[in-house]
Amino acid sequence: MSALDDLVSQIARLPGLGRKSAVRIAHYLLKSDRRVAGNLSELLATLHDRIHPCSECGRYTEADPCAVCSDSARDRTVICVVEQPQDVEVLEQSGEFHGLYHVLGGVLSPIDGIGPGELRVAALYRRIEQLGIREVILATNPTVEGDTTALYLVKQLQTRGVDCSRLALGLPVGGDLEYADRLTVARSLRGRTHYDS
Amino acid sequence: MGFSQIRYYQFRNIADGVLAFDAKQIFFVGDNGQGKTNLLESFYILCYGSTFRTNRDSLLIRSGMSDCGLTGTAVTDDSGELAIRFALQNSLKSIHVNGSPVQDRKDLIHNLPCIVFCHDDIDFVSGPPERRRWFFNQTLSLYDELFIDVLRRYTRILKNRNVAVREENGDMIDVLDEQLAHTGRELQVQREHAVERFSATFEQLYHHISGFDEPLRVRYRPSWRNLDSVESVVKELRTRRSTDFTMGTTTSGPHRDRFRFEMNGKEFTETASTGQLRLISLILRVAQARFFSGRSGRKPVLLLDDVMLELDPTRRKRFFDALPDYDQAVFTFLPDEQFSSLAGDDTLLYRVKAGHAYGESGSASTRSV
Repeated sequence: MSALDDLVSQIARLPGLGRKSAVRIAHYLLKSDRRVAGNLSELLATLHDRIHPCSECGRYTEADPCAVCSDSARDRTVICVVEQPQDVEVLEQSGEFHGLYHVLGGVLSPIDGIGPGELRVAALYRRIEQLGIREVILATNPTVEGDTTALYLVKQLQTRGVDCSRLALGLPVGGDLEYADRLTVARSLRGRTHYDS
Repeated sequence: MGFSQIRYYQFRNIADGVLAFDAKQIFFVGDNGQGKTNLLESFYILCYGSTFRTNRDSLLIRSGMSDCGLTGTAVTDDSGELAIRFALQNSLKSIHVNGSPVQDRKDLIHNLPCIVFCHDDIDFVSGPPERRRWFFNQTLSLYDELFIDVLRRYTRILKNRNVAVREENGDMIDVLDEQLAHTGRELQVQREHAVERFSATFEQLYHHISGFDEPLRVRYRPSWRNLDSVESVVKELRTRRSTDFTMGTTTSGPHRDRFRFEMNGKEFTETASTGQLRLISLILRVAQARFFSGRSGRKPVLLLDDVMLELDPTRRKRFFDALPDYDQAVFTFLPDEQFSSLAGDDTLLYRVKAGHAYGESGSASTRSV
């Protein structure tokens, strides 16, 4: 295998990229200034030394604890539970949530051999205890396993006297009803909100 | 109006090339083993992206070849002209509609809903209970995309619960019981309502086609009987948990539901003759087609594979008359069958021999290509 083939194979292993895109990226790197590949290579080589999970919430950070966990202005009585570190960035971009986060690192899935012990569930209980959390927002994805995980945590947390809530499901803001898929419309109908009289 | 043409490439024993199908009725006539069912199967594959004959897609590829393809052009009332391409290459299946790849076969169903009548349908009557469940799941899925989602969701929760049961993981089972009860109840309610309406159609058709006076009804017997709330189902699952541990699986739920064919309150299929079983299976499909048309307001594509062979002339006529209005219907016949009386004003007849289809003219009701 040539060096180019090797590079294409490695790039094609990245999520969301097929072989065609991998070939295009490899050729772009070859055509670009040497420094482009050099900088990228240096960043990749030191990636794991510089970026690591926050010891508190589990999101990726260079400083430990991360900027959210060390921000004293955040509401430290509410915690939002997500599946993956990148979910934190999505919620942060909304600018709507000002509490803390907790990354589980996956979802409960008995068929895949993933139980509470494989996730950062014990760390969640510890933080709730230590921080005196009042409300837990469950922001796992609306999949079967995401729902299983949320329901499992609700059952466990309610015995600890913590309020639990789940992200609402429904139509996207700014979207047209005619373009929504039937399942989304059905869930929106079930989760409709009433106007206060 | 259904398919106007299909291009064949290394598909089973069918010769490579294009066949025109721009007619409301398509008749494939030929001896056994010539390729009639293969041609009929190609319509089904382009409608659903899979075959009704086997679980092994590799059997669709002509012997000695490594890939195959079908490209169909169809016209529908809802979506206009559709170019549907099915390909099997290097053991990978791909389906494209108007050039866009189809990720989930569920998205295909509503383009060109088709209903196939074939010999194996007798399993819905005399086969194991899962075949009846399969039939009614298909009946509901044809017009209700949400039902497919609920069914998939239920199956996934069930698989997770079965693993948790084998591990005797009580905390996890508590959670999965709630999900199973919630999703299972949705399935149960949909099945209850559907079977009630389906049975009325079926009973009427059975009386009309068979000519028998004794009514034959379809009855739904859910596994969770007399449990009409999620809470009561959760309680039932908890009660049965020790049995589930012993059996190593979930022993109750919609995956154990039964559908019965009842005459005078008794299961009819236990005493019915083979001819009666065959007739019931045919009527089931007619009822499915009518049920689909009634619920969706759309006309299906009907595929009828050698199914009228065992009907006497009177019942054959009644059966034919009972079919709902369709976009297109494809029939296979043996050469000595009396099929010409079934041809309408817009019928295309192909004689099939050794994988080649020859358009036939000469009859007022047929057109050659």
